[in-house]
Amino acid sequence: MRILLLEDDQNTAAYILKGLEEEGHTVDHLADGRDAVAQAVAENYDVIILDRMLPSLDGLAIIKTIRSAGRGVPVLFLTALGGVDDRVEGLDAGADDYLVKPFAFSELLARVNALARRPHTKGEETRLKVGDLEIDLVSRKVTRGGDVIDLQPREFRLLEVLMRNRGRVVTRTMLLERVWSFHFDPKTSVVETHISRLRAKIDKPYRKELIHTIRGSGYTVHDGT
Amino acid sequence: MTARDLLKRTPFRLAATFSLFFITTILALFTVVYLVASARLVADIRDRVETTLDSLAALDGERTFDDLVGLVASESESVRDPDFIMELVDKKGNFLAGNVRGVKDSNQWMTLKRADLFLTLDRGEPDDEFLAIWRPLVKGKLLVGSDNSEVKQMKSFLQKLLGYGLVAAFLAIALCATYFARETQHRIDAFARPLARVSQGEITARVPTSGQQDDIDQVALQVNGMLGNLQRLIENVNQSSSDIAHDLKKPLGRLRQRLDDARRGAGDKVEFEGAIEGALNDIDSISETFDALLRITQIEAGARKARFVTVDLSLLLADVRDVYDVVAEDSSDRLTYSTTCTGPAHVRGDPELLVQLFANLVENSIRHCPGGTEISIHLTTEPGIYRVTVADTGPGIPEAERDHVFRRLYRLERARSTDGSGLGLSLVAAIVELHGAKIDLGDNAPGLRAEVRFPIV
Repeated sequence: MRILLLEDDQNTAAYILKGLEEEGHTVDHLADGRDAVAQAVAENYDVIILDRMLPSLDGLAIIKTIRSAGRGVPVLFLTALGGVDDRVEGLDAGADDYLVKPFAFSELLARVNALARRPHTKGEETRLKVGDLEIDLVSRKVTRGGDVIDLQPREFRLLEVLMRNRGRVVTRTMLLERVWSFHFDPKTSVVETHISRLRAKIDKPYRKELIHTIRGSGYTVHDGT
Repeated sequence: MTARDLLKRTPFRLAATFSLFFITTILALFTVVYLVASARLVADIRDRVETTLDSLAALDGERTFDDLVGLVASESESVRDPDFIMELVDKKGNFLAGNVRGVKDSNQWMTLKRADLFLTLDRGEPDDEFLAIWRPLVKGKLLVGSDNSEVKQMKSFLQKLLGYGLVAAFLAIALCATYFARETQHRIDAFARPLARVSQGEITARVPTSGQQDDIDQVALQVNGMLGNLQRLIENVNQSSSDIAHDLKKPLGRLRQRLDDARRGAGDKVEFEGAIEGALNDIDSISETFDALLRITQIEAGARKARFVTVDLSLLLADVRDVYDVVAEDSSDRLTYSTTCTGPAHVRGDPELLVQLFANLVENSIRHCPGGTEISIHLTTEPGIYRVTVADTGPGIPEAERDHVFRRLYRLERARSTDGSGLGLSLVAAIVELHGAKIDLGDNAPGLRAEVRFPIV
């Protein structure tokens, strides 16, 4: 993937740069907001990672400029400001996702991967398939190996988020935000409990496990091939 | 205290202004009384003179003129103490009879001083005055005048009265004004002293109240309320700062130890990775504490009110139940939700925060209670409020500690071993406050009962 990283803090930038390059991505790093806008519009990036606070130009202004130039490239917003207002401001300005500093690299990677595969121009997929597991987003039907599986609405939503990101890691925080709209870290094992319920329905009765735990990061759905 | 200082004092200025106004009023009143009374007296005297003139003038005429001269002469002589003066002259102005001579001619009322008159009978005081007028007759002219001393007496009486009265009134007013001014000044001083102490840092100082429930007391109560709030805020800040310092020292110490271990055990990869993992967890928990603190501060700042929407509490609580009933089940607890509301229970609020509010309460019950606990969420409505009760059958919170648990970073002794920031209930309190709601912790006998009351909009 070609990724544009806009980060003025040298340490953070080096940390992200190193991690992303180890994952095999091509990363252009810029520290100045003005250069960034020109570069973002001129080049074809798969994802832009953008710090909220940049010298010379505010991150919000950069997103707005990029969007008004007709660029639909997914933008991940990095911010030290964890407040809801800041998040909403960023998302309203046209960012696709946000991440509050400090963050674990696995979280950043999972979000970047999720953004890159997000079909942002094509029509929405309505049927998702992993191995012999299939879900229909319109009829909300789940089948595995031809068996119809009955899921609670919340379990369905959980599976949907995992399936949309099939093959990629979805972190615990991402699940909390997207499945439960929790923008806080629960003190109990909400995610783990629901994942285990989901597993009991779609994995346990079958030979092959499709939902995998990535220790320290999150979960992923793949058929192992 | 100099005169200039005195002038700067509101009670003194009020008293002085009031006295001045009062004295001016008294003066004006006396002036009116004097004018009216003296006009009346003068009119009486003139009436008397006219009556005398009328009766004497009845003898005017060719035949009776000599009788008139005789009458005037005998009248003048019989008046020993001359209340009346009389002078009868012929056409040429020659004196015919009377007890005064040579009064100047005029057809107007005259005020004549005794000293200026040539009196045949000379008694009385030289500055006595007469009111007199000439009346033309057929064969001459007649002057009659009457003593004016009544007017003068009244004048001096009124002057004396006014003088004593003014002095008395002035003394009374000055005494009164001084008393009230001093009284008020005392209360103002009593007000100012504690405030001065507060500004010097003695935040526990309070303004005294007189118990009269008057306006100054009202202000005093307001000020004391304000000082109380201020003190609580300052104590909160101090408490939080020291709590934060304490709370961070522990994980930071642990972190340091882990990194130290990692350095020493760098040869063993498993041990090394374990130490790093532990260090990362420590950092996450520190970071989490800060996030929670920031979140509380942001909620308390109230900016989120701008994004309030109408929220159906019954839907929201059912949602919380759906998220947590399986979590409770996994800890062998049971979570139920019930409501007596038939329709939607609408309140104005931030749904994200409201979810967190009830999630925190339910999570507290799950985490701090042993297995087999019954946790119930119950929604009822009463006139003007929606009441949400989150109750459990766990160990509860001792009554003495129920107020403290909302404090930042406060943790019950027995909860110290479980992980947690001690910020959950502070956050709950902040969210409750933001929504204009009230929260009370009570005894569920056994267990804890948290009751949140939302105003119905």
